[in-house]
Amino acid sequence: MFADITIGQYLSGNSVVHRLDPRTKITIVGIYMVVLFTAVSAPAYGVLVAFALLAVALAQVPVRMLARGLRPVLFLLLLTFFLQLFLTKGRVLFALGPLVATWEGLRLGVFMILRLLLLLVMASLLTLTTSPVALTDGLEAILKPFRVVGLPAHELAMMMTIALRFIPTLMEEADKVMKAQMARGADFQSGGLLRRARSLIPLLVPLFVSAFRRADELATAMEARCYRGGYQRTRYSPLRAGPLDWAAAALTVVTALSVLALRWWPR
Amino acid sequence: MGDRDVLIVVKGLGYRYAAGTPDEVVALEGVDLVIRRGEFLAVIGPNGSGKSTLARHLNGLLLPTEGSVTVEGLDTRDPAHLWTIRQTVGMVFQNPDNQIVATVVEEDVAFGLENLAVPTAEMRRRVEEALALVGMTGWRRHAPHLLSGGQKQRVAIAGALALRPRCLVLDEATAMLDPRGRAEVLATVRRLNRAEGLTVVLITHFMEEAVEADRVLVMDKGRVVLDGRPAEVFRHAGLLRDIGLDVPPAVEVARLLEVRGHPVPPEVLTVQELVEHLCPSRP
Amino acid sequence: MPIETVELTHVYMTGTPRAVTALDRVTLAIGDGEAVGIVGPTGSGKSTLVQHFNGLLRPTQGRVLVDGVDLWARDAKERRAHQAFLREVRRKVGLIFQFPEQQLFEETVFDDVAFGPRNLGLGEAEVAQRVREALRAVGLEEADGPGLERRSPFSLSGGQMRRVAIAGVLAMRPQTLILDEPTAGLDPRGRLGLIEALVRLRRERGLTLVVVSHNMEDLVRLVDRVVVLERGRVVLDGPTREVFAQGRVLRSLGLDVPPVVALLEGLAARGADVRTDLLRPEEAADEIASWLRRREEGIAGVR
Repeated sequence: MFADITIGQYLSGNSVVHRLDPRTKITIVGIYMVVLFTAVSAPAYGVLVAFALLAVALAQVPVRMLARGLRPVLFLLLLTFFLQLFLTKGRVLFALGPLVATWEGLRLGVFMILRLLLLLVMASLLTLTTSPVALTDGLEAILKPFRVVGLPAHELAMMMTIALRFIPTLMEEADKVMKAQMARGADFQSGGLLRRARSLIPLLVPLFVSAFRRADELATAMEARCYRGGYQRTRYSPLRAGPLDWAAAALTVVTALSVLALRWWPR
Repeated sequence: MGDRDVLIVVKGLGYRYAAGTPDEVVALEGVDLVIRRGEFLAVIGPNGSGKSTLARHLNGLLLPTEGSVTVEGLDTRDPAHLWTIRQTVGMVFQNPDNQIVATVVEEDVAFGLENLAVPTAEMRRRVEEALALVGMTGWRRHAPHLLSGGQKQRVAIAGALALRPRCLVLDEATAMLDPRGRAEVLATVRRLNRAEGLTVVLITHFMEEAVEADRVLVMDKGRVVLDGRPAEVFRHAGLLRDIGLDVPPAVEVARLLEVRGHPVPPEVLTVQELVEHLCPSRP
Repeated sequence: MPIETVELTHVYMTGTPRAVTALDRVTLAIGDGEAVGIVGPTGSGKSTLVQHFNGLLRPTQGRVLVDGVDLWARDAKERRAHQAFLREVRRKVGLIFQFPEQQLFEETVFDDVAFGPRNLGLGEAEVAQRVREALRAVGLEEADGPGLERRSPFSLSGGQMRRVAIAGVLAMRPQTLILDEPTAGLDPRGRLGLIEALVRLRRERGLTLVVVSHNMEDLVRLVDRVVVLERGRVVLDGPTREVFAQGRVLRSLGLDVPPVVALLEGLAARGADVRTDLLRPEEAADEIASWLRRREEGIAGVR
């Protein structure tokens, strides 16, 4: 029953953030991430944290969903923190046997995990509030200017859309092939890593063959409907940026400039 | 019935795969055919008879190795006309999944219009129109993988209709559907032919579908073997069986009754008609 | 090989708000050597049901017994033993999915058909024998000449690929064979060939047969008994003739009625004195001819 899989954990909704043009959101996240790496002081992080909190509040996304996305990296976060805490030289905070924690280590550790956390939160917000289709459209629009240097923006976007369209279909097919091979005694579960990898061949080969056949048939069907690449295509659902987008963009620019100023303004 | 009625002319059509190599396969040979506006033509034949190959020549997906195919006077071999021809002759294929490109039904129906650079407002109008013609308006925002086979094929038909074709070719479009899906697709196609005057070319191996057509073309090994009204074609039960085809069940019973001394007119093709013939309703 | 289900219930995504009850307390018994057809509208649970017969799916409630043994009595504790047990069940109960040609993957026909026997750990000599036996059983060997075994399965026609896929399951020498829409997508000649091969196979090997199908004509030739499902419940269960004669019920479920039955029912509705539980065209023609004769002789009456 793979019929209802939603990819990329998109949660539909009508919040301010949901209603933003995907191009705006992608650009905001892009700027935020770049600026994040220039922050080195507490006030700078403060600004960035405030921005992130505002975004989370406006998106009306349950915090539980965000937290769930962070769980896999929890270990990495803690590891990073403790490494910084104990490996940075400086004024001693406390000692634990041979391990010496320093104030500087504490500061750096906190900044490191903050950086990772903020990165993840903003990326999660993007995928939680933007449907995969909208994301693809947004990316295509942003990459379009790069066509002059040979980047096939339309083709890339078309590939992504088709991939998204076929994910549930392919999952159903994988399920079916797996069951068919199990019915012939295939064992996908026992054995060491190498053995298990080999046992995947009866699953992967049919899926690959089928994928190529699909691609061929799909291409023919697209040709029959006059597809000839991205040249001069119009859009059924064109992207439209509104006042909301300009406001969000302005706010982001102000935030970015503040952070940069905090870094480089002579004190 | 003048020339203005003629939509597609197939003259001396031949097609070879891998021509000139030792693997050469003659898929079509000497096919002559005229398709008129508003016609409902069924093409039947065993696997390998060339019916799908013929279908793909009608919209220029394949080009003849001999002979010619013209659509409204335009030759398919002329690249300048190819896009016009593909707008005139729309096509729906066998696998319901492998025709749908977009993640939302109405976006997929719009695909052809996007390709032709139709302005957005006009696109919306045409997509609505097409969805209404196939009865899928209620599913416009659905994801395609949640639809049944019959629904997917109707979406594919809508996608073709959005381009406002004069002719719709269905290449074994019901082969992978369950009976309900098949009935949905046929009802849609029948309605489009009768109410909207759409020319239909139905490639199928279900005899019950061929029975509904105005005209049936029987193909075997790349050649046209029979061409006529269903009643005429299904008389040749022996020939049909020889090339590996069925006759519709009502026709089979009718033939068996004839053998037992009860003649049945060849126009009787469906169960309804046979019942009516044997037990006429009181006038 | 007898298969039995007792109050079998299966709920997909149980416990979530999107739970779907695919099977609802289905109790069914298929005897050794029987040939049973499973019929029902799309979504009635047919595929779900048959996937329980070889342990691919686990009941949410109820029991499944194969050859008298409950498939799920043992539990997760002896996982490896249970897996081995299920693999043995799958050898004895062969399942062929719809469009089985989608499962082909090996470089040669021989290797693909050999996949099952090799998974059983049989020696190469035994494997080779089974492969040949299976290919012959599906009618591939003679018709398509020597050298077929060495060819890539992907170079074959659709109908041939299907037969190779079926041979792949037959090579395991199952005692029960389950087929899900075996003739879907085949042209009339392919259909007939496959049905004939299955009829012959059943006779030669004494297989128990379970066939899920929408195609009434196929079922008439293959099975003696038909079970009709609707929304996860058994609605009809009886000899083929009796079940298919129930045109009204079948139609109300959105199912096809065999054309011969539709014809006889149509005549009976107009007062003709004919049986409506016949399935083959010859039988119908005989019945109609005899009624016509009686009508001509003035004896046949209105019901």
